[in-house]
Amino acid sequence: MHILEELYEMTAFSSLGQQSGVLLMLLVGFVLLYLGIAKKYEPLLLVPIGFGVILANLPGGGMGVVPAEMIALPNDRYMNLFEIGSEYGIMNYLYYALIKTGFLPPIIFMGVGALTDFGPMLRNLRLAFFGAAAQIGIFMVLLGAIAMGFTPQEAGSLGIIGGADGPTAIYTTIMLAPHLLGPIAIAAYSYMALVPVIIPLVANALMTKKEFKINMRQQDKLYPPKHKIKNLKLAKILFPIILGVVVAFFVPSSVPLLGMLLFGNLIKELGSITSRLADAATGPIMNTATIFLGLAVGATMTHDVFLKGQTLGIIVGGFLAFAISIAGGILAVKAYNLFSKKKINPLIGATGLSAVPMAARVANELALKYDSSNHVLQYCMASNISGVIGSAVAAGVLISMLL
Amino acid sequence: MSENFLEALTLMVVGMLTVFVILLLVVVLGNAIIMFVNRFFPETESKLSNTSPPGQVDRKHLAVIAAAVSVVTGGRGRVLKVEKEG
Repeated sequence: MHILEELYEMTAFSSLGQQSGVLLMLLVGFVLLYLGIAKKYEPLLLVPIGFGVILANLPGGGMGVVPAEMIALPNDRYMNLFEIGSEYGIMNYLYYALIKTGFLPPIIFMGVGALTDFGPMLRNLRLAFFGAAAQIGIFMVLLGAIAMGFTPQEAGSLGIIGGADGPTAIYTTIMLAPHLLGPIAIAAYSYMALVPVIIPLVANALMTKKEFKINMRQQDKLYPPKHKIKNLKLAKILFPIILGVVVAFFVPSSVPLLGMLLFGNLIKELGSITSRLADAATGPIMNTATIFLGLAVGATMTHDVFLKGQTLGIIVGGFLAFAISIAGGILAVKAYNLFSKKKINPLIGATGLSAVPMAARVANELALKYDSSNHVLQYCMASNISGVIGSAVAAGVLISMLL
Repeated sequence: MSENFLEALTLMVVGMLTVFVILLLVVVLGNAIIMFVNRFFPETESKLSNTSPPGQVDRKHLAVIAAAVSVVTGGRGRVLKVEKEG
């Protein structure tokens, strides 16, 4: 009988009874897996995050990420990676080496850059402004979150969900409020997956039928652009180099994200001479980074960290940040249309919040629903891509002012 | 009004202004690059069009074939020669 008792103590069942939160967290993990696998909501991220949640909460598994205080030593020093690995296991090693250092989000951004085409934006440069207007959700929610009792650092991390950019949200949260990393990453990726629901919801509430029907090609014919690009290939090579250097002087804290994005874009635009680098950035490197990012972010969500009132606040706040950003973009276009002869379809403002390229695709489908000949995709991509730059800059401002 | 709220308000103004200024820079730089490229390195249609003698393969077509081979072979394949029949 004694042996049986010892056996029971050795298994995870004994601790399962003591910690009811564990079961709830396993359920959260299963729900995330379900959303990723069955509903196909951002499966590349939600599957590793969901599985990371499960691994972290399996009692006795030692895969949960411990708070930074646990690895702190006297005199503002921290354990080295070897000590972290041997004391708290491989997941903590991965987390403190790859996530806490802010290493993986810029690496993923390099891959995003190598998948991005700045062509549509260069062809429709003035639409880039709407990528700025659609960052308003970040700052409005920051304001609201502070009023609700979040610290400014936590509020900044919550607001950045409105930038609709996973790596940017994760990078900002690592810098400002690492204890909220799990719920913020989940909220950011879940709402990005829900872009096909959120954009129509906000657009239908704010736009008239006439506005949905504004045909951008007709407007271009009526009021043709001033100049045509005579060598797009060269323009696309010069753009990331010059922009990267200039922005670095204005917002240095955005360089880790924006610099890597523009480097990734450059190796793509150079074509065959660097195609092997671009292939590596978008393939093996990005995929490996995504696996470790997802698992380690999931592993931060242990029951004692996740099951708090704050998590609910993050989920509600994240949705508001998304919706306000979309609304901000739409309203900016509407305001522009009041003063301009050449009208712009407000859907182009809605796509200013990043979430590339899904937001642009959703907006295009919405426009086609009202007029089957109204293809707005390339125009939406212009504001969509500028939104990526806008949210990285907003993240840089938050980090430099709140850190 | 709490100090934090005032800080957030400042952050909102500074943040949105910075984002606008940077995207204004994107527009200005983009236009400057386009003007520079158009002025000094225009790629005219005639330059792109077939300048090879008759009987040989169009350079544009050759580029497309080379790109297709590169994608299919994962960058390992090379097009050494393409000839027209007849």
